[in-house]
Amino acid sequence: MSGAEQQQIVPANNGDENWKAGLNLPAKDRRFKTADVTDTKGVEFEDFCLGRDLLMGIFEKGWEKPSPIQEASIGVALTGQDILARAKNGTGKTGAYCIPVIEKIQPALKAIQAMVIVPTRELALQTSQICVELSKHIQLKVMVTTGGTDLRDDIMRLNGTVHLVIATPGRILDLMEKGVAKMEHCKTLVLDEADKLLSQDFQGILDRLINFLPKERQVMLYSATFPNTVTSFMQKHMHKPYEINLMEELTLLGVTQYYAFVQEKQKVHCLNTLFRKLQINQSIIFCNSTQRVELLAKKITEIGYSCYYIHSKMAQNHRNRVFHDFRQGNCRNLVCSDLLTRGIDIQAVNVVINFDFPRNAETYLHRIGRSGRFGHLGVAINLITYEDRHTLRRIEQELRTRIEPIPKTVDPKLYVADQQLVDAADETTA
Amino acid sequence: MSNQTPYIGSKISLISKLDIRYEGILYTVDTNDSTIALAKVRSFGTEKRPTANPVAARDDVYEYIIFKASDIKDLIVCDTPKMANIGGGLPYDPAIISVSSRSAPASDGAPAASAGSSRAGTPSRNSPLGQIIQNQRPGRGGYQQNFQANRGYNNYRGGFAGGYNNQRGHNNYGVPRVNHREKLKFESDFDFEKANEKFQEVLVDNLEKLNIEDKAEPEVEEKKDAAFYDKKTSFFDNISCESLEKAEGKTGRPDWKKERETNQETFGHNAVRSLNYRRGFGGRGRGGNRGYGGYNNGYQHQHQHRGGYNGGYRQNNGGYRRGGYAPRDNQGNTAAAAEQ
Repeated sequence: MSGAEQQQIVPANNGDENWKAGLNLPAKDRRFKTADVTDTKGVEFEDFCLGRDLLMGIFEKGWEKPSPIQEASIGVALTGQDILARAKNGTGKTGAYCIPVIEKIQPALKAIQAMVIVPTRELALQTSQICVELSKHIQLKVMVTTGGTDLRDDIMRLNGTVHLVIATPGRILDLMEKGVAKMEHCKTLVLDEADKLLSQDFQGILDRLINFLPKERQVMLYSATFPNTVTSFMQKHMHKPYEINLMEELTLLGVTQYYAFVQEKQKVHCLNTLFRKLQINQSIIFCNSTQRVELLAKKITEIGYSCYYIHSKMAQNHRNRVFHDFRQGNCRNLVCSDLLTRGIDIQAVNVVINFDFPRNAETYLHRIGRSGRFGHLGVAINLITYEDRHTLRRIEQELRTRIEPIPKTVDPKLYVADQQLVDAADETTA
Repeated sequence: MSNQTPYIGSKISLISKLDIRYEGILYTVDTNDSTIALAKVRSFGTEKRPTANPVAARDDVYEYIIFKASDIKDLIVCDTPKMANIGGGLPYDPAIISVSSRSAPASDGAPAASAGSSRAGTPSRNSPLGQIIQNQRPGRGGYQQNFQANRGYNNYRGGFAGGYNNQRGHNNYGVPRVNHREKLKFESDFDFEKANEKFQEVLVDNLEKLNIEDKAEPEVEEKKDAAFYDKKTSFFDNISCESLEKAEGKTGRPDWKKERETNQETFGHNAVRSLNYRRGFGGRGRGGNRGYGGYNNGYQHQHQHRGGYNGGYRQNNGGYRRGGYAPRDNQGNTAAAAEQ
């Protein structure tokens, strides 16, 4: 990133052309990336006429160039139009809405100006952290508010200045209804994992929530999956949404999917063998119930491996700690329920194991999208029982993908980081 | 650390099958699991050994690393510490079973065991280690206490299965489990190829049966591929999803009895039976559930049998307001339901 070539691209910032030299950039990720994130038109972040302080935050996060969804959505979002955007798992959706949202906030106006709603608390934490990092050089107050924390703290917080709220639906609705969160200046609403938020799980909370916003507002929906059920919300609350769809197919190019046929009673043995044979950097192991999460976590420690576990029935402070520590890389394996199925971005995860096969294609797609983040390579391994055999074929068909029988050895090139370094393995075709 | 054997407490240098060399203080040897634990371990990487994947050395000192004996290529008992440096992430090595969190990168604190002889032994795997194990046993009482003390801690933190087990690992190590839980050990690898072949057979079988009883297989086959997702025709997709399942009245969830049966099949009867009180055990999950409480029933029931743990729980019990969770297994199972 030498300053020279950048000068003419940033006409507005000519005054001090060396600003980029002072950036505190993270180490470059030299892993191979698939076309899911590299197939761009060549737009630069500078081309969006973003404030320099925000640009600094972007570059210091290590984001060099916009991913396809970012290219397609940042500009439109800045115009204030409603957006319906669909892009694959881990291809930069969060950045695609956070950047314009932050850009449009006026720090001088001391009021909530934008709100991002996500379905889980963990995702809220993750998203708010990204917003905080991006707005590092801007005087911006980002607040995260979710269930499972002390309501009084939130109320105190809202007495001060807050510009941007990242929230799960229940808590923020509560705060609005109490009149604590004042939304008259909140002209931007983002629903991340929109289809989940608009599903029955949230039973119309979003319909109620949106009524607290001013009439003149921008609504943006992002997800990798959009069932038809989303249309009713769209028709009710959105105005001529601009559609962005970058998904030629549903599954990620970089994630190789395998199945292993097992009997229920062989699953632990099978997992043990996978642990032994695979070069797991970090893995996420999915079970279909919270009880099974706990039972499996216990078994894994019994067979001599370490793991954390997390599910929705745990106290929030413990959930936070597990999530945080796993992200830090303190433990190799994480057993979880569908709590972490969506949106969670842990770059070090190269293996996803469906210890229990999910029942629908949507869940499957989001689960395997926990590896192969940002176009990197990863494997997903499904333990399939006799009962699962039809679901396997059905999901394979619905997603138009291939789930192959697991070979004797899984080629490390398909998922091991140091086998993917671009200099070394330039020709890798994913 | 025990002085009973000449090797416990000695500085050990071992090379794993990936040609990565580690140095640390021999802490325990476990014949049952075929593992050995080193304390204050540093990874020296692959050094100059010819290998497919060279790996750099690391500065960090790991409190404990437990190694699988079968993945150790060479082991030398030596008392003269060697130095190396350079950072990077502790590289992947299948020989490592678990690593406790890093201690400060500075490598003293390693009690340089018996002075003098620079190399007490040549590559030694069988006999010396065997001895170590014999001599280890008397020392166990002490470890056991540690172990329990630690449980209280784990209980408090809750939610961590392995993370804290890592730490527990060394206390726990080589200690017979206080309750009847056995450490699990699989003799051989799961044979994927064979299993998958079987799968193909099953499928063929099924196809044949299909002709006879085709009504028995309510499949989605009628839908054409394009019906699920086609960017050209619609922004929206039609893949199976939770909303649709629920709209169709399918919870997708087996009743709790069925789930319990499945759990028993997967994890064994003991594991499932102990689920209710197990939550407090060894720091697994009990604390994690404090927020919503209500494991009391199953729990107090157990107190009678498991006197040893009561203290810790009682202290926490104040936090449990709702009782009677234990019998309602099915409620505890809804992992996928509105998890916000």
